[in-house]
Amino acid sequence: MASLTLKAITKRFGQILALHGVDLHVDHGEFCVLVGPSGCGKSTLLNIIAGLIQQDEGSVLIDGQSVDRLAPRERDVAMVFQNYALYPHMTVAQNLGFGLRMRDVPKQIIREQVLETARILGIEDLLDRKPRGLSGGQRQRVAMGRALVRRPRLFLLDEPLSNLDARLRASVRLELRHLHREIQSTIVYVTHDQVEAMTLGDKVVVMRRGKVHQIGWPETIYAHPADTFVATFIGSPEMNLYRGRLLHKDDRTHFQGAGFSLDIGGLQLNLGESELEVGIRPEDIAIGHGGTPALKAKIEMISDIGSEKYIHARLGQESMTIRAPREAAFQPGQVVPLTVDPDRVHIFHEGRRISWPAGSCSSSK
Amino acid sequence: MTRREPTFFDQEARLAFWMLFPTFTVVLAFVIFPVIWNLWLSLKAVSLGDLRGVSLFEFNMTLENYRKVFGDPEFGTVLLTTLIYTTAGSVLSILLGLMAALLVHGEFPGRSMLRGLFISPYIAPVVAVTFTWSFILDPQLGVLNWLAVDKGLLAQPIPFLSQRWWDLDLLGVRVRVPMALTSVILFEGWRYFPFAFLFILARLQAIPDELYQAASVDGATPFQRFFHITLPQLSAVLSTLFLFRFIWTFNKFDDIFLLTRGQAGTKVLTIRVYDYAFGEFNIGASSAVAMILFGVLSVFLLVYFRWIAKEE
Repeated sequence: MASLTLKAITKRFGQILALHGVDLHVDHGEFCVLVGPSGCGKSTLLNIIAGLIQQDEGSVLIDGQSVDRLAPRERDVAMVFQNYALYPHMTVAQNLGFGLRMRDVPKQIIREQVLETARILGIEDLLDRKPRGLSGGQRQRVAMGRALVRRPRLFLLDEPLSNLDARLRASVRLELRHLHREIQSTIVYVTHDQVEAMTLGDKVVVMRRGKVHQIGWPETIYAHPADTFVATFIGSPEMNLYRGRLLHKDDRTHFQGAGFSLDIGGLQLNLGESELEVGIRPEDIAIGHGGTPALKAKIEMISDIGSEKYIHARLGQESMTIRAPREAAFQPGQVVPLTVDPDRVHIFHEGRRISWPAGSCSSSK
Repeated sequence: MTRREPTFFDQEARLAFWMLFPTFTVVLAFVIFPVIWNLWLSLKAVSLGDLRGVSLFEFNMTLENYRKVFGDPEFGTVLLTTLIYTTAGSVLSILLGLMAALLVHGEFPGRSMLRGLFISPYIAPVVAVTFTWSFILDPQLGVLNWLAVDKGLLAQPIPFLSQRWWDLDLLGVRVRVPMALTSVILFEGWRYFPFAFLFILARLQAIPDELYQAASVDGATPFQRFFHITLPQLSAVLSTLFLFRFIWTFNKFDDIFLLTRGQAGTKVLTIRVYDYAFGEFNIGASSAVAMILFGVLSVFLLVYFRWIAKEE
């Protein structure tokens, strides 16, 4: 177990800037998730931590010691690859024991540790099989086992669940969480799936185009996204985001969007009449009276996912998604009044969050 | 009797029969028939002049040819030479091919040119390259001997292709090297490594990078990665290559004939076939040797598929 610190990591591939001054600190035993759309540099970052790719600038520290000059084998980290990268010519037992064998651990100890790891993961009966004969879920376990068996200082997981089907993914996600609680290890986990990021991470790092957009607890990132990218990337269905201006009228502030006006309470901002963006999560919109002036939307389509309904509506010239309980009985074409709690409205100026409502902070830690 | 309408499967089967028919005919005419014909000839006393005679179809079998071939005091030596030449030549060409493939596997400027260059021994005409090598290795006119003597590496020229034994002094230990045979094996390795090179390179490039990355993180050194990842991944192609090269080298005639005429301890079974047929005009004995080649290869194939290929 160890802590990990990244200092201003920069990496170029030819003309492309893959990573741009990434700083990050992961504590002992912390589960850190790097999340972002494909091509955001998260996998490159993981490979740099492992030592498989050399960074152009910046430094990687494990337990405060720079490992920049160490080869992957000397860094004492373990990695789980997206397509598992199991050695096809070796049995499961040989796959699990490979790392120990390369470090000249005595055969007897290798046997014991392989058996113990296989027991933790419930794959004892697979030990003599070759990877070819295993299902996707079993391969994933073996890949996890190969990392676990060595008890490394740091676990690096590169989209380990993305090749599993949806049901299996959910259950393995839970198991991972349990496993982490049990072995208390430091984990850096890369994913493009926001659900994985939110459910697994003690700490979530949102990245795009080689830059870190926000680092924080999952709740913070959801409740106080630092910018419009994080706001729309995290959360499903996506946050509604509207461009417009603020108008002050009778001590109250109104947001004037395209074809609608939204009361956002007593907000005092010295932005004048400059353009900004307002974000509202689908669950923060209630259908029913309350707001003044009344906000009205026309329902266009309803997606019923069973546990709840997503209502796609038109608000002025903008479209809007509203999360409604499954009992909600609406029909497309209906015009309904909306209520939005001003405290739940996110305001962004030039893409960055404006600290609002007062008292909450835009970045954690 | 009621005639059943042909079903879809019947039609498929009929179509399959007609599609296989041409191949089957070719195999019958050019593979199966020659073997049977050769076996027939090896069991009769036939001279080169008799080949046009009607007597070929008479049923007068004899084992005389086999008695002659096996009774030849040279036979054991020739068989041993053939096995050494075939095994060493095959292994050498595969080893050289492996080294060449590993060399051009990485990225570096001029890689594609080097790859093209590596193919050249294989595509050059055999007459041209054997002539060139004979010329290079010649004791009187050869550039290699001249260079070695001129630079003081050798006291006197070595007749690489015409001397049977070469006494070598290795740190006080006297070793007798079969000179001409070694030269011929080296030639074989050089000429056929491109074949192995192409196969190995293709397989090498199909090994996923993640395996090497995983092994690196697991703590494998470059050598360990080679022995634990690369070699096992190549094992199937290496054993297939050995199978092909062994068969082809075992049946090889032109290279060795053009280099040494089978002199100086390089007489292999195929040259014996030639000697009997065109030296002694004894087609029967020649066919008998050819049948022995066939028999040895059959045994090799049996061993290969029963024990070597099974490990995959």
